[in-house]
Amino acid sequence: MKVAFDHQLLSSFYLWCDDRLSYFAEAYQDPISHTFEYVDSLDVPADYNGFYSPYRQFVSASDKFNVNNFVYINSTQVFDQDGIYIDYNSGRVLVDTNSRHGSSTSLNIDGEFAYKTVNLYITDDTEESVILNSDFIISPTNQTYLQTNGGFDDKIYTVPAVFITLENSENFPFAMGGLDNTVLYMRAVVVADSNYTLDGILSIFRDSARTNFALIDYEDFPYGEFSHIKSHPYKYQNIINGSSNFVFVDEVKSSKLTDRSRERITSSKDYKIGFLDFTLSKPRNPRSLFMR
Amino acid sequence: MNIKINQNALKKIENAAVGPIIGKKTEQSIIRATREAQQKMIQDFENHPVTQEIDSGPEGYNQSGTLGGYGNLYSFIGFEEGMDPLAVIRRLLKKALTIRAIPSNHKSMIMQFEVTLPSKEDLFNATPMPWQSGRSWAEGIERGISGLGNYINRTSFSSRSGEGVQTKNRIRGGQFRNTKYLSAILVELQKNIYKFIQ
Repeated sequence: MKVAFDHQLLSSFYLWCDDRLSYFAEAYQDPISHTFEYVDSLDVPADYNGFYSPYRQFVSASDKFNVNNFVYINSTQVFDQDGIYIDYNSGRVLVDTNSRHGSSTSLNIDGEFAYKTVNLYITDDTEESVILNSDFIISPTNQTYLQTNGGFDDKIYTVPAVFITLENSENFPFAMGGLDNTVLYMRAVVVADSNYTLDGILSIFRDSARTNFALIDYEDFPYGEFSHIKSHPYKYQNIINGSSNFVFVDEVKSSKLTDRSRERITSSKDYKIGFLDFTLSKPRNPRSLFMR
Repeated sequence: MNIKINQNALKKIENAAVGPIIGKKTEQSIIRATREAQQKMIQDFENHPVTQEIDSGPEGYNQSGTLGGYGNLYSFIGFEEGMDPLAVIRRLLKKALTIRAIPSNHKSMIMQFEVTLPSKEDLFNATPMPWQSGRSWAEGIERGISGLGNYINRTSFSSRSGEGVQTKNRIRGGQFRNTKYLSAILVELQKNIYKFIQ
């Protein structure tokens, strides 16, 4: 299927949120050495072996430090896309079993990466489903190989994390000539392990109201199918530089689940939960798509 | 009969001279129109299916269609039995609307009045979600409400009675259908004020 406006919007919004958290909130741990261990998990593609770091979601773009695009396999430097993929989103290395690295599950893989202290996920789930039907594990303490806990089927997320979803949208007539204002309501569920982190996340996004972000063409999206970086180094600022296609962040409202309510949900008792309601607007010509 | 108008004398008529007479009449007609429009707004609010459904409390049925006919809004939003979430809206809507004449240049014949209407923001601020601070249930009717309140409400009884709440409760999501509510009623109020003045 052809890429639609909503796909482009959601991926651009994801990158913008990621930049807010990484660059402005500095929600990351400086680069440290990781040892990647083999885990037989459910979501590893056929012909690949998955080697996991103890941490989820590596920082993939930064103006403040170098983001490595290589790991060491048995002490030999191996670059991303040379028989391996560095999956920044899952904090793992996927090794192509048909490559020179072979299908051994006892490879010694290590590398130096910064990891996010607030993860970011795009989800189709409703907020109640995220909160009630998911398992959360706290990063980075004692959470090593989450895939061993049952894989993605059980929706295990590493928190603190922000879950973003496109709730609904509507086109309003804007100007003559077929111009509409597309108003989009995005929602984010924030699950944190402390009030400090929750307040920090809510604050940085609430203060982002009445700003804008660049709409990035789908082909310029920096991540490949294995959440690897298509072209190193990836810098958000470089992608948006020169862009003239922006989405306006009209309004951001933050709210929190009250303690009394939180107590009633056993699965979230140990977490602080907040919500962000974004109203985005983008004047565009939606019907131009239907010209033959 | 020929009437000769003394243009020079007409030019000398200023607001200061006719203002008190015409202004009074105009103000009365605006007050009347505003009151009529306010009455209509209260009627619109009371007759709205969302109002009626919430008014029915936890025993009501989903006449607003927002839940696809299942359950009712009162429980879905998560109000506890005995709560009257509509009281604050009724109070705000029934509050007398203020009408103020804006002083104009004594030579100008234009009269301006300012009518202060209840705002969407006032109403949304006064209607917080029962289980969540910072979000409005009235705004949620128009933008979407998650089923979290429903879940919390259902678990409330078992919590109070000492039963443990399930760690995991698979729930059906995406069941709320947004509908225009207070913002549409307020837009209608504005339209009606203009209509009744004319």
